[in-house]
Amino acid sequence: MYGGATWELGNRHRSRWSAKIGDITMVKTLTLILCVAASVTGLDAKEKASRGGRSWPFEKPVRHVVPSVVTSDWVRNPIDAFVVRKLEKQRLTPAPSAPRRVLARRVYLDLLGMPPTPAELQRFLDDPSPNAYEKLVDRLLGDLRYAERWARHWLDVVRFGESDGLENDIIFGNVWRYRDWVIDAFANDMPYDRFVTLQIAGGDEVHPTKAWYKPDIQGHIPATFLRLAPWDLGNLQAYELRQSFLDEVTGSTASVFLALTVECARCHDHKYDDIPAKDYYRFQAFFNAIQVPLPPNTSGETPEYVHVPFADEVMRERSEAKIVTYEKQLQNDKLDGKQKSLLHRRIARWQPSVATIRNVVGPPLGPDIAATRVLIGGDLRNRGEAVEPGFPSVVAGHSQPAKIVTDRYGQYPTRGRRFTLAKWITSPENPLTARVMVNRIWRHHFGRGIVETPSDFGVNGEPPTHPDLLDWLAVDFVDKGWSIKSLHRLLLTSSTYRQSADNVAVGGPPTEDPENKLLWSFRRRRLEAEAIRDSILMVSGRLSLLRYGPSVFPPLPEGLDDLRNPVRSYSAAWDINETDEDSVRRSIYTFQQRSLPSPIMATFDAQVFNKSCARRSVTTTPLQALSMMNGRLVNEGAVWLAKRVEREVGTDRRDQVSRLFEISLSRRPEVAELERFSSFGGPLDGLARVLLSSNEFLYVE
Amino acid sequence: MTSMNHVRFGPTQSRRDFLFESYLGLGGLALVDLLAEDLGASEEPVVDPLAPKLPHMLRKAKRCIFLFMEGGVSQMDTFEYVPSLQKLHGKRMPTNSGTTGAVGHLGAAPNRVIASPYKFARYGDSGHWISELFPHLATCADELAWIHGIELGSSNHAPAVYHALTGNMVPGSASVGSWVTYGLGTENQSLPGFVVVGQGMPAIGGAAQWSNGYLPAAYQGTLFRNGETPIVNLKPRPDQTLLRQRGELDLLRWLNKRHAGQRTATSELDGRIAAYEVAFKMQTEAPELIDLSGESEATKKLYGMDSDVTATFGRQCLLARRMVERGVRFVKLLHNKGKPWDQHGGIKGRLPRLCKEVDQPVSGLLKDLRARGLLDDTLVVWASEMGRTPWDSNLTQGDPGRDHNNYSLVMWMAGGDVRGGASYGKMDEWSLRSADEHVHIRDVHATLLHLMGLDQDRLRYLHAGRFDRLTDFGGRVIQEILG
Repeated sequence: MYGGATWELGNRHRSRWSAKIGDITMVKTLTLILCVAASVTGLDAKEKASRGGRSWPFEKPVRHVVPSVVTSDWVRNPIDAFVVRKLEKQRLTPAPSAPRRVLARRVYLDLLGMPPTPAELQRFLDDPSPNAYEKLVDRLLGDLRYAERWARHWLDVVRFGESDGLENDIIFGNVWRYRDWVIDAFANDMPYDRFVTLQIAGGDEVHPTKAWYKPDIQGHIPATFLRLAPWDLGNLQAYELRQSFLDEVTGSTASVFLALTVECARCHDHKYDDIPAKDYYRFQAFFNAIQVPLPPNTSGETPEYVHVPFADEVMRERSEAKIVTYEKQLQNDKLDGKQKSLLHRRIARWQPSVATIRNVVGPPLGPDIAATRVLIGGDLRNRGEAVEPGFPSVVAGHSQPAKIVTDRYGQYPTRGRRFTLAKWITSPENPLTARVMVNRIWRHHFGRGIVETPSDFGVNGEPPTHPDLLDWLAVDFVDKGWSIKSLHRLLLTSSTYRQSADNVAVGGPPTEDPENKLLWSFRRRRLEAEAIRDSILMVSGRLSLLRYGPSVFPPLPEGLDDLRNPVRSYSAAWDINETDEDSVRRSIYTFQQRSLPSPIMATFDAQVFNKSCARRSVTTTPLQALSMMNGRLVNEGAVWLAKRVEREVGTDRRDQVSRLFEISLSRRPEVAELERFSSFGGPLDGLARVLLSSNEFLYVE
Repeated sequence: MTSMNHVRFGPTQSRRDFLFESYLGLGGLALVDLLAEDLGASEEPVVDPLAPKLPHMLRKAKRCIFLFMEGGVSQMDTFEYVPSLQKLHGKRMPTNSGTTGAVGHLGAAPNRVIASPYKFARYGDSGHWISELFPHLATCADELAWIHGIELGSSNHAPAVYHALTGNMVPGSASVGSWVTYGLGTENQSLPGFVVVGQGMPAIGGAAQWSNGYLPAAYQGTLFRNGETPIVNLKPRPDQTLLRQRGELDLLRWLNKRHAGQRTATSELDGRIAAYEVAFKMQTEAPELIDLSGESEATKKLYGMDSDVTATFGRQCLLARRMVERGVRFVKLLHNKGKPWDQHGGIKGRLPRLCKEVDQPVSGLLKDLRARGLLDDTLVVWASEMGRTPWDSNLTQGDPGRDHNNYSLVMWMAGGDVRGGASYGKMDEWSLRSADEHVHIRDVHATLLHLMGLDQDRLRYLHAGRFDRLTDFGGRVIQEILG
């Protein structure tokens, strides 16, 4: 309902309440906001009382007692108890477990972003052990395809893009290394606190006792997080540009890791949440030591990327081999200018350098960090009082300056600000961090967050449907060493997750809970653009599983060729792939050009994000249908799939139809389907096209 | 997103009517079979975000054509008569002109004022001054309402373009066309609701110029390409025939209906079934739209399609008329490519040519819309991202140029409830800044929405903790140009 397609927000609570807020702008007391918040969120009396003087979610989560329930035989783990307790209150019964075949397809699509092969499916179905499903989940979590899929979810949140998006859409140098780092982090189950720390404080860590401590150079790659937003190189007003950078980083860091929406406080005290403008600038001061190295520009100066050697031996060898090859090709005198610049671009892409951020040098070699000042009304020219780095008082409970963690001798006076912030964010005492990440993961598995606004836990966000469960999960997450894979395992093995998408006992959506917030069935949902593309490539037998490396350029639809050329030599360009294999690699490796999002991706709601995206929209449009009917992806996929089927089962049409269903839908055709499909004339790829376009193929359930 | 964000079809009519209509264009293929099947289908209400919606208030304009001149049109050579520059020609700007600060930044100093080399005259009953570079548009003077001295937040192209087109200087917000389509839906479900017709990729931001931003993707602008296939993937592949495709779609529909029939809560699945039928129809509607063979020679001539200089933009303008005729809600035309209006040089050389490229096509569009009775309910807007300075930007020798000025944009509107001949905003004697009350781009956006029957405060979307609006913290509807 919230933020939905109703152009006049239909939520009467919300509009009534926002009118109220408008009137009380001047009377900003936390109590008043709390009252309003409570009336909006519909918290029951007990829940309200338990919040005491502070509002959810600023209280540290506690491990609530797992409720005892009537339907105890349904409960596989504590998640189920919390969920079924709420269902029982509404006299709703959970849906029965989905059939194993359906469940397997679901978990493959969910974790890997592509369906199981018939053989993989059979392996699971043939496993008689009682924990066959748990074993499957473990197997999939160990598959690198899992990491590629879940890294993509994270890239949405961090507004990953590979070009600056503004005038001339200038390329960011080699930020694909950040993408690979994220994939690795998911693959290796990097503890989330470490994952966060490196992205905020990579290259900024200090050691309290060790003199001459040098942070790991590899930390510069995750710190690219701070550099990924659109960036206006065309803006020649240096201070304005720097301030926009700081504002962007301030807003994104707060929403990505803390689900706090602080942007409003840039110009004025936040009207809804308790974030004064001063807190915004105190938070911003943590980033004030950042220096953004020189981007490529017209003056011909070499951009100041940070040299970070490949940590991975295989990648190092790949890169060296590529560079040698392309440099050799450059020796050829017959090349024209265009071919030469293509080779130069390729060489640059394989260089072990990355556009990221660094700290300013500071004394004794340079000036100290300038003070951060409150900008009155957000106006750069209207500078108010100077502020020290400090945590948002609504979370920290005070507005004292933060104690910056520095090295023992204060030898690196510009170091430690980001590190201090990262320490605070990843402290088990921080009430938000674990809740926010648990909720993000939950949302991808269940199709709806416990908090449906994953980057906004403030008053304007949706209230949690299961606050106690979220708290329990957050505590458990931290107790298990911030392990994301353990969290997946817990969620996926619950009875709640295993429910069928249709609840026969409930019938249609019950009036008590039409939106299925209480989880009385599994939420059927359309696959994301990437999963659609990857699945089509996969079932047609074309998907390349080549991993890592510079981004690739899947063919654009016909007629867009004039959009491929770079505006300037340093602009992003939809290049020719290095090898044919590159055009059929997983979608996460597709070049993220802000001015030219791949049309099929954009049509299916996957843009190249300019701002952090916590939830993609899910739309159904005729343009999507056109791309399925006439687009290259489905049509080439259908031809390949048909060939594959002919190879596997021969020429009998009934066998072919059966095999098509098995490969694409993970099931055999029913009698009527077999009859109708077998009697359909024409070449086999027509039938393949139908199956690849079908709702059953496009939806997870 | 929540279920409310799923796009579905056929809200204002029963599903059966909808399907029936969709099938009328199919030459009866499998019609009886499909309808018979559909009679058994449940009549559950479906919601389509692109379905026409009632405006907040009754206004004449139902559709909008937005003409965008990328680069920053020099106002003192086109639509703003600044005689006082004649005296200053070749001299420094007077010190009391207040040139320090944010106006212009590329020129070293505000030296060497350039008076406009073009003659101005007053046109129409309103007597608005227009330069000799727009002889055709001058004949429409009484259709146009002027807004002078519009201020934007930046004198850099990209942020100014985003400011003019999305209300926000950083990319990622929803464009004007997306907001209007979000507010009003669209009248022809067989064509996109928001269409962009360009001549290649714009220099600035590309797709972000017509992005839906944080609004659902159904509201993104669809780029129309030159050539036979205006929409990406519009035509069946060369080895596919319409007949065979129809057969496959029938089979797909059969399979999808079977699938939905075995499930509960299927309105989204049903929406996708309908989307294929609309797409099938779009394959014939869209080529028909761009097929100009039915237009008379006189019409083509009116748009300047008989001359090389004006043919390209003339075709764009004629397409725009055909689109609004067919119920497309918002049409955005991009003139030329690569910020052509960024005249740091070429005030004498290049500018006349650019003006010529658009002058006759735009006046042709206005006249044609008027003649067909379409101008009453079509709003036409002329826009750029900024104006230019009175002084030479010193970047070229010889042919003078002008620097950026984000305080001096001139726009005009026509059609709908616009009061033709009206003018608002007064510039200082150098056309440097507004001389009286500031006009901000927010005010222009508020006015545009108002003219489309949308209230800037009610057209909003919850994003990142606040209700975002096109006009950010609100603009003033410029009543002075309304009828």
